[in-house]
Amino acid sequence: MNDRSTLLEIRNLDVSFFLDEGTVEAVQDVSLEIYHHYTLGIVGESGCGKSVLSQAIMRIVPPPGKICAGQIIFHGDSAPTDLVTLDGKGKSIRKIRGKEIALILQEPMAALSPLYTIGNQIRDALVQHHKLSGREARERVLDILSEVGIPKPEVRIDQYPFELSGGLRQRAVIAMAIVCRPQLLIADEPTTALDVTIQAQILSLFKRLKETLNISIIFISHDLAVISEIADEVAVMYNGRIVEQGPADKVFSEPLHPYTVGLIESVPKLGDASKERLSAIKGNVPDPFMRMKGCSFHPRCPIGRDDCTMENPKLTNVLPERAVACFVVEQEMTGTAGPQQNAVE
Amino acid sequence: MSADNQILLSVRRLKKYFPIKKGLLRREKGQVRAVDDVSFDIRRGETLGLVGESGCGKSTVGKLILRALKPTAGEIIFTLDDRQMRINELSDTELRPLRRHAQLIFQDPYASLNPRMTVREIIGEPILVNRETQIADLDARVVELMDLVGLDSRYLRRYPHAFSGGQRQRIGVARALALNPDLIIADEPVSALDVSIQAQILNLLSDIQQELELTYLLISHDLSVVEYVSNRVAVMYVGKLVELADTEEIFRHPRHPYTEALLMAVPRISERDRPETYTLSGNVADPANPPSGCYFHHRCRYATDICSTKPVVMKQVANGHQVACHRSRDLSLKGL
Repeated sequence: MNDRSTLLEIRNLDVSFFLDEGTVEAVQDVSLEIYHHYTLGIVGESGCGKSVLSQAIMRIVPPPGKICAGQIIFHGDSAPTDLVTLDGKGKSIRKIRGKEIALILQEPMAALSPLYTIGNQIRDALVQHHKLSGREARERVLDILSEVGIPKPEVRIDQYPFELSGGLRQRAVIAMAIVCRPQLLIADEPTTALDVTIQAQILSLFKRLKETLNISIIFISHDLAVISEIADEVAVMYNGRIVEQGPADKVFSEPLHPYTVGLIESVPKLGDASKERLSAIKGNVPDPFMRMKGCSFHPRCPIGRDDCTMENPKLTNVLPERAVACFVVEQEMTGTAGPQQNAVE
Repeated sequence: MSADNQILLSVRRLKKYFPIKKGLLRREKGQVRAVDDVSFDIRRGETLGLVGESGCGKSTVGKLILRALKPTAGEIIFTLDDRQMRINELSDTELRPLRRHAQLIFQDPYASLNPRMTVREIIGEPILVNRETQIADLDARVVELMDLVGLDSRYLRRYPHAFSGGQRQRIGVARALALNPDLIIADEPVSALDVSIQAQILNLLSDIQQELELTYLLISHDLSVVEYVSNRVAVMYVGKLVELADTEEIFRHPRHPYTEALLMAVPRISERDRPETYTLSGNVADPANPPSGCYFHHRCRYATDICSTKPVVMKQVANGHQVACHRSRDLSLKGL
């Protein structure tokens, strides 16, 4: 991993929401590294903090949310900048937001204004960061539309979002995100609102863009299969923390953390004719207001021990490139180096 | 599945056209063919999966069977022990008895429960409305239903907001079971739930099916869920069925190019580095203005001249395997 240069470094990030009902620690002690030309998948269920993490990187955490601690260091073309120290509404973050780091959201209609043509909206994103004449901007927009695979760009450029299908709208949103040639693209559930055949089209578009534009992607999804298809590395989040991290093929073929194991076993797998009973994870996703002592997965964990409630396990490297936050697995892996099956039992 | 393969519900040439009204006088300018000439049977005790992409008309089929919508044409015949009910012909009052026999489980457990009613009222309402039980026995029946779906009956008097998504869906299931129905139509029953909760609900649905000998029509866009739950699967595209067969058969040996494309489009954990198969280009046809011939021809990589001119109908190609494709006999398509 050392040969790769780092693009974004997150260190011990804490994001909390200070609500009347109490404090929600949405992201707790998250550290991540994103390399150049690289796709990191973040997988987790609703409320696990994966979207807040992306908002923190963009510095758009909505109030009453706040970045309480940690660093987000962006290694752009200029000197490394800690995004956390920048003024969230200031000039310096605006030079990065949208230009160097772009965000794509789940629902394309939420990202597009119904009142302007898509060409207009993509041009707006472009002229925020570049001085271009009207004609030059239009040329660039036409180029970008064909780059994201929108057929007949010269017609589509003057159309309004309602005239486009869901798949084309999401392509237009992607065009808007990449028109300034960002180095990092954050895609938060970009295919969840789409049909499977359209999802497959958008996923192959992401793969293609990663190659042609040489960008890095943070791909956030609740869908394990989508993540496994697109990501180089995957981070599994549970209740605000990363519980497991590693190369995607390894994490999905030999999951270590009991939560990852449970997630993979709880989804029906296409083509698996055995129709064995699904092994569901017992219990529910924890209440965000409740502060739990110890590992937050403990109440649902099949391998939990008494000491799991004592303190929170830290994400620890147990194998080369593989990190897991679980006392039991850690002990099994580093103490007695048995096969992984034993670790999970 | 009970051995006797008795048909519980027959749908014959079912159609539902919605008018498109435009202009000041709201004149009818066209029709959306949401469901167009759909026929299938559901056998007692089985689960029939109905898959398709959004807008293909699969939810409309469910609503027509429950007569939440009135069909434009076609027959829906519900066979009970001794009699047949022609659902499509019944008036609203005559439909009352049907409600006991066919119930719906909704997709969104947040939208489908009244926030001002307690769990007892929500689950008990169908029983009261149909005067099935004396009021005095109502609590006992509700508690029984709550036990059945794995809800703690101490929460009888709580409101839906006190429950998580998965628990709410259990409330929805209990309400659907309240009248001992024969048929349950489950319209995307797990797609609004978290991944770790989906398995709980899928397991619950299969447990109560065995226990109560229920018949399911499962409407879903999620092929892995459909494969897991269904005995037979029907694939729908732009208001029409394009393929229907046993689950194993349709997933291993699809005969319709659309089914093949759907199967290929689903990302899979187990096959991370699957070869870059072809992705279906273009978009779903417009049901208000469907193309000529086979509705799928402009996206189909096997299409020939005949496909764009001659309409297709469902034909039996093997035992229990029906396909609507001109070329089904000479194509060999790839399954899982």
